[in-house]
Amino acid sequence: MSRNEIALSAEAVSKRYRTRGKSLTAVDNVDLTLRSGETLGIVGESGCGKSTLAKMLVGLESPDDGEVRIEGKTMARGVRRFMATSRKVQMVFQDPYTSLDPRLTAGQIVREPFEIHRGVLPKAQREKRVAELFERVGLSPDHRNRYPAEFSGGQRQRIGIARALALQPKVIVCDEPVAALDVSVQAQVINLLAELQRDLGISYVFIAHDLSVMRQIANRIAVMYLGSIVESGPVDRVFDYPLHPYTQGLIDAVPVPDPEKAADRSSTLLGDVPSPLRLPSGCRFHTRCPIAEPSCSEQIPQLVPHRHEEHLVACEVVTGATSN
Amino acid sequence: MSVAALVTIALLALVAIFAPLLVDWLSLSAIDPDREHGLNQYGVPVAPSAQFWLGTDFVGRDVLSRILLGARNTFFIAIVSALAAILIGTCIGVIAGLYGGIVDTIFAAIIDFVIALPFLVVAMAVVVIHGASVGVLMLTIIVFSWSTVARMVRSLVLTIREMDYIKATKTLGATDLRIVVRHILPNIAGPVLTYGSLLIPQIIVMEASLSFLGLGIQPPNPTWGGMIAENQGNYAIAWWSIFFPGVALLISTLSFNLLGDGLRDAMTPGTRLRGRTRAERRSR
Repeated sequence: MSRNEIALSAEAVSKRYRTRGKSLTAVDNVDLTLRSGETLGIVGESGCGKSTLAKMLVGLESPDDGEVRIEGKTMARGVRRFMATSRKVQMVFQDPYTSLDPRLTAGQIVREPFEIHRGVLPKAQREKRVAELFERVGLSPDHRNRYPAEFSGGQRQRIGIARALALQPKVIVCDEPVAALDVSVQAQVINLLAELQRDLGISYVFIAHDLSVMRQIANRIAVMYLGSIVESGPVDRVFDYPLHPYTQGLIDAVPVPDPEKAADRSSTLLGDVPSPLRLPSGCRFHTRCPIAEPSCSEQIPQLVPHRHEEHLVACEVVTGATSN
Repeated sequence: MSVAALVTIALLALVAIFAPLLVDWLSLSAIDPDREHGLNQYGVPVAPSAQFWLGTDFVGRDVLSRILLGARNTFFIAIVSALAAILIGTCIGVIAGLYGGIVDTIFAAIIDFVIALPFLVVAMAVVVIHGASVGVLMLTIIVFSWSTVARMVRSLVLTIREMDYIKATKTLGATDLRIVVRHILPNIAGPVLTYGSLLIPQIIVMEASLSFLGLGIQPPNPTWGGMIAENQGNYAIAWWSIFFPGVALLISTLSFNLLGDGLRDAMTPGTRLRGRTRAERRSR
């Protein structure tokens, strides 16, 4: 499989929710492409639409506008859509305590995909395959008869990963898969995900708010703010040369584990995220932006390449200043 | 405590099942009036004695024999009605909770409507129109019992359907039927069973109230509520004829309530390990 093949893409997807007569735009006109075998990180503060985007990518939510394509084919709509998508795209959830049915044993949870897709594997081979999956994610196959409550958070997340792997999907959407885990366990789970990618060629959409996690696993990242992508590009490029003032703020907010280094707080993000019920006009970020100009509140900036063909940014001030 | 309740219920169930045999063995009049042996020369019921252990009632029938036969009627009605109410309530609750929207609104309105109805008034009207029979009695009880089950199940399903494991199962391509049978029902079984064991004493009391008002099982066939009703005029001279059926009601409703409490305690801490729960039950 070539690295340039597109495994999953979102084209101009938007999602709006109605609450008490008001319309809340959770995801606004987002374009996204995930190539085979790569990891695309999505970062942003809570409530920026990351999880809604993830749900649309696996089909748990249907976009109001735009479409999600799996290997170039538009994702079907309707009740039975998961029968087709489930073998291509799977999801790993944030909270390992609610993502496993407490009444089923770990083995039953991992076997369920084969019971839903009966044709994938004959009954006689299922148990063996479940044992293999347990080993694959670093769990002892002897623990198949235990209930989720008998596992630790990290082990539970491994069960969730085994379930997602069962149908051999090309893409796994990970919605903050390590946010609920201890730091030491986070690294183990991330190493497992990286190992699976190397061995099985799986592509990840990896959602996180923790930038250090992102740098470990992502090839490319997209930074979201209030439902829109404000910057995207190769992970090193975005971290080393952040263009958008919001990205710079996020990176500066990461604590530096060095007491000698005085923290540079010049571009620390100020204020709160505006309510998505009343989005700011023009550039969504202008209310908190340290370099905002009067024109920023009038025009919505487009995501355009800047200084590097794959490094895209949506900021008129940044792109305008250098082109002049 | 709940173990004692369970033992009591098991004993009561055995008594109910073998009531006809026990009554034959006692060989005292249970259905037909026996003024010759059961009443003294002034027509007063016989007090508890070696022959009539719990005394006799106003027409000379053995109170113990009638309590035994009454257990059969009472338990049959209570258990069958409770099962039917739980079945109907669970189905409607699951549908309303799972599909939400207009379906939920309609079912919620029906549930509130049924809960708002005054039980005795409607029950009496139904019996006046259709006559008193076991079938009508049970139907009335079921109509009044399913709604609370449905309301509870609906709220449980509303919580569970937002769980990530339901979403995970959906993304695997599972049908709604599979999600309900494999994931929702096992997760609501605990609270529903607990509620069911609390519903049985409620139904026993409903049945007793209706029989007391003459709307339940018809005499001379005994039920506990009916026995209290037909002997209430004699309580001053034959206290035993209403006291012992009352004790039977009290013991059975109390046992079911205690069992329900025990079940609830055993099931509430959701994260408790199964193995440990079993071990605890053993040690208790």
